[in-house]
Amino acid sequence: MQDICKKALDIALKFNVDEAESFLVDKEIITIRVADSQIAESKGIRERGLAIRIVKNGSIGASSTSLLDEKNLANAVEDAILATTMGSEIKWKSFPKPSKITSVDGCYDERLNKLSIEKCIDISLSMLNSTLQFSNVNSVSGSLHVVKEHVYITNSNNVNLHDNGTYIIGNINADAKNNGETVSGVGFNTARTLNAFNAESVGKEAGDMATRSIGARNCDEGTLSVIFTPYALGELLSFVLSYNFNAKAYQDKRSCLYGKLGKQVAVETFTLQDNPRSRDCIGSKSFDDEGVPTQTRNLIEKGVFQSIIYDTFYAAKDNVDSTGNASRSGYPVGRSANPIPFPSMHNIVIKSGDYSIDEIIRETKNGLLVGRLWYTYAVNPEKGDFSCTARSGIFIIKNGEIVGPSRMVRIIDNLQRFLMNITAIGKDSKHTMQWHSLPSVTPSLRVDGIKVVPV
Amino acid sequence: MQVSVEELKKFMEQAKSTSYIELRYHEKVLNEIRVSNGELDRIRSVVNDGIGIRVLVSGCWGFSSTSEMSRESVMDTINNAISSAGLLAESKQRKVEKLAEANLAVGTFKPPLNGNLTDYSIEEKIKLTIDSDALTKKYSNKIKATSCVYRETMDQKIIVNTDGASAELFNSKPEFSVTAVAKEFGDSITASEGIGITGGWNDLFDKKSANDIAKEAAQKAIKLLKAKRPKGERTQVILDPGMVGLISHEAIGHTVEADFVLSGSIIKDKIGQKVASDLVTLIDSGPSQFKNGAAGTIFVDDEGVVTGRTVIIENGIMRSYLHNRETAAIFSAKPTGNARAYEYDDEPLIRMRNTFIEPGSYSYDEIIKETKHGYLLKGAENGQADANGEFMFGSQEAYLIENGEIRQLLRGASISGRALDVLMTVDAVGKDFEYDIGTGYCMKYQPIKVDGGGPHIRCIAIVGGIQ
Repeated sequence: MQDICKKALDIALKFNVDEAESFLVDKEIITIRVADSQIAESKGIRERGLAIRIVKNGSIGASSTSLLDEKNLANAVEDAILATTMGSEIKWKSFPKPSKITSVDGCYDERLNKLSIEKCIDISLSMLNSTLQFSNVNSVSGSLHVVKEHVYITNSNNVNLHDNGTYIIGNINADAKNNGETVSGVGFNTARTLNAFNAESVGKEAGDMATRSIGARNCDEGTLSVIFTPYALGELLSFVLSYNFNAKAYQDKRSCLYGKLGKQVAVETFTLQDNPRSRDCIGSKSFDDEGVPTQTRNLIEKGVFQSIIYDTFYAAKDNVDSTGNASRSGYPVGRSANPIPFPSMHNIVIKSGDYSIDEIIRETKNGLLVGRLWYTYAVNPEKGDFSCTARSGIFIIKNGEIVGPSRMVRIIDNLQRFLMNITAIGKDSKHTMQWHSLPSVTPSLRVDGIKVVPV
Repeated sequence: MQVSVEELKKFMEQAKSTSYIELRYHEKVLNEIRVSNGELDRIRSVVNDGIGIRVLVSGCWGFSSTSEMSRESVMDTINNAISSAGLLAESKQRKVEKLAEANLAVGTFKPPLNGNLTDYSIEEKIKLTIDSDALTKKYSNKIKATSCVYRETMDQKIIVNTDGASAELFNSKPEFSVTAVAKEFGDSITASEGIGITGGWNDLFDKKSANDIAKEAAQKAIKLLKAKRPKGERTQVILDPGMVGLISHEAIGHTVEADFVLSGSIIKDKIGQKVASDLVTLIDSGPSQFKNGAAGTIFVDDEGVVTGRTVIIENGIMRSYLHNRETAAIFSAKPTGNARAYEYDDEPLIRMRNTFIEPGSYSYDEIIKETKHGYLLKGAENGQADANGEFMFGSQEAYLIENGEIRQLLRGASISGRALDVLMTVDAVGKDFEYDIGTGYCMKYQPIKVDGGGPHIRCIAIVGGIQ
């Protein structure tokens, strides 16, 4: 595969181009789907693709192909060159130059790499059966993805890198029915090594959440303290918060934190990082998707807005260096041969606090505990307004005690207000990742003064 | 195409004997031009080619794919799919007993189009995108940020299976959208306009020119900057075709996908029952009905079934779910041609195509005139719908209606309710018709291009300010 990657670069350099970059992904994806409380489908696919970027006369063009023979590589190069002739001159430095790469441990596991579909079915059955142990659960769905990935990058500045990655992600949704009303629970686990993955816990979490949600009633509309558990908070971080640190959003003045670098934007106890170098995290990697070494970066430190994230393209616009955040994210996880990388966080991390979840609940007078969000989106990104629905694992808290499960509620708030109203940070950090989203490592968080409306 | 129908058939014939084999060659070409704030942000071209193989072994499905077209690679992939399916045989309780008989496609299928996308140069497409972005910015000095995207996908497929499908399929789906952000006195508003179709270059701007789309996005942002928010209330709402399309797709359409019905959607066991007002007839159609060029148009689905028009609700009565061949057999129904896959390495899932409410007898003016108090909601935005049909969608514009007259423009209105309850309250269905959600993608494990629309309709729902 390295030869093919190099061959595409050589083809490009034969044309009169200023710079070229070739990026190749060779990926095997096993998917086991659970539906109607049984294994419904097993699927094994091999995905290979090559992306090429060309710089010519100050303009960048890009293309990609899944066909890796010489003729189609040449076609892809020609498409990328054609695109450069159309672009206006951009502010550009160059593709990355070779740098010292320090590898991140625990991103590749030979056992996962060799995992068969048969073994994946066994793991899925373990997730399923541990859910069905909860007698009230009447329907289970979910999936297991195992991804084995080999990535190659080479460019005209002599960057020549290769990386291997393995990933395992399991999720289960359990429905429980009582008196004609269905409630649900969710369980989730991600890992980079087989040893670190716990299939049983996925099913147990989902079954337990669904069972505890039986008998849900409407909560009162009002302004409450809301405790977001790691899985719910991960969705908010991925779909709403992370965008605001992206150089593109910041340069377009569409970040709700625009103009606030160096200023207090959150409570002092709150520190937000992008940490691509943490062991066993789904987004961990030693270099980004342009070949720039990754680094851990504080984005908000003790409440003060410290940094935004760049790839090479957007860094050139601000005349700074890339922060190593070029991303060509792939489905269900890992990388793809997307021809144009984009700045993105690798692992969104909230630094753990001192509170246990029991302490947070005990100190909550009038609130809600939320296990899972749904349809989270920025209503007005420039202002930070967002909307989401708490869908599962919702519990009403009165005077420091959980008094019972709640039906779904809609949560409407503003990020700037949200960050300044955090009143407790847990020590229960957990790896999470929602469908089509960024991985995060986060504890539970309590935020006061959130508007909640029963759905 | 990298392979021919005959080559695929040969691979199929050489495979180990199983009850069903389906080979689907798929080449998808995606070209995208994105301009933001006057700068050409990205031009990308993506070509994904490969063969997806699905087999049925002992009542279990197996799927595998390859981007290598050599005989060796394809035969390995068939064998991988067969062994995947075989592994499920022990654990799977509800086996696939049979696939329903279907009208399987034989021949070549192409959408009608005016102007092949490949006949128009990338220079022309880039110029259009840059000019439209500039026009949006030029509209007012209150427009502070702009973006404009042109995207086109061209699909070529060959589908063969052991039940007799043998079809070559072509599709062409261009789209164009403009976003404008207006700011004044610390307040800001984002507005967008766009169009997505099935068709050619000249079809894309048949209804509205790129200039019109750019101006409308800018104009809308400026107008909304001054607008207040509506007060929350349960009241009459008149939905524009885009909002009707969104509700038809998100709040009703997903609940009638037969895989979802089997998992216990609210619509389960409701065939033959009254679920909506007599005025409501809700359709999901492969071909583009009433207006040409709906973005979700397909003539053959990815199981090789010839598509048609599926009547989901007829004059308020639930008539059909959306099926693939497996679920059609379970429900003793006819396959509806809803099995769709996004790329070669995706297995076909039950997905919608063009989902809409059929036109009725009211003129738009009559609907407005007969409304004492309510809101006209225009411009479908993000939203949510759940398994029980509860939904919440945003509209970009909300016009207050008092005593049969359109009054002030309000911003950021949401509409919510239970889909079936809301459909029961429909008391006026317009005789106009548009498709208007063609720039979007439906996400259900895989993205897929869909469209939706209808006439203006009047119903009762909860209106609220988005904040």
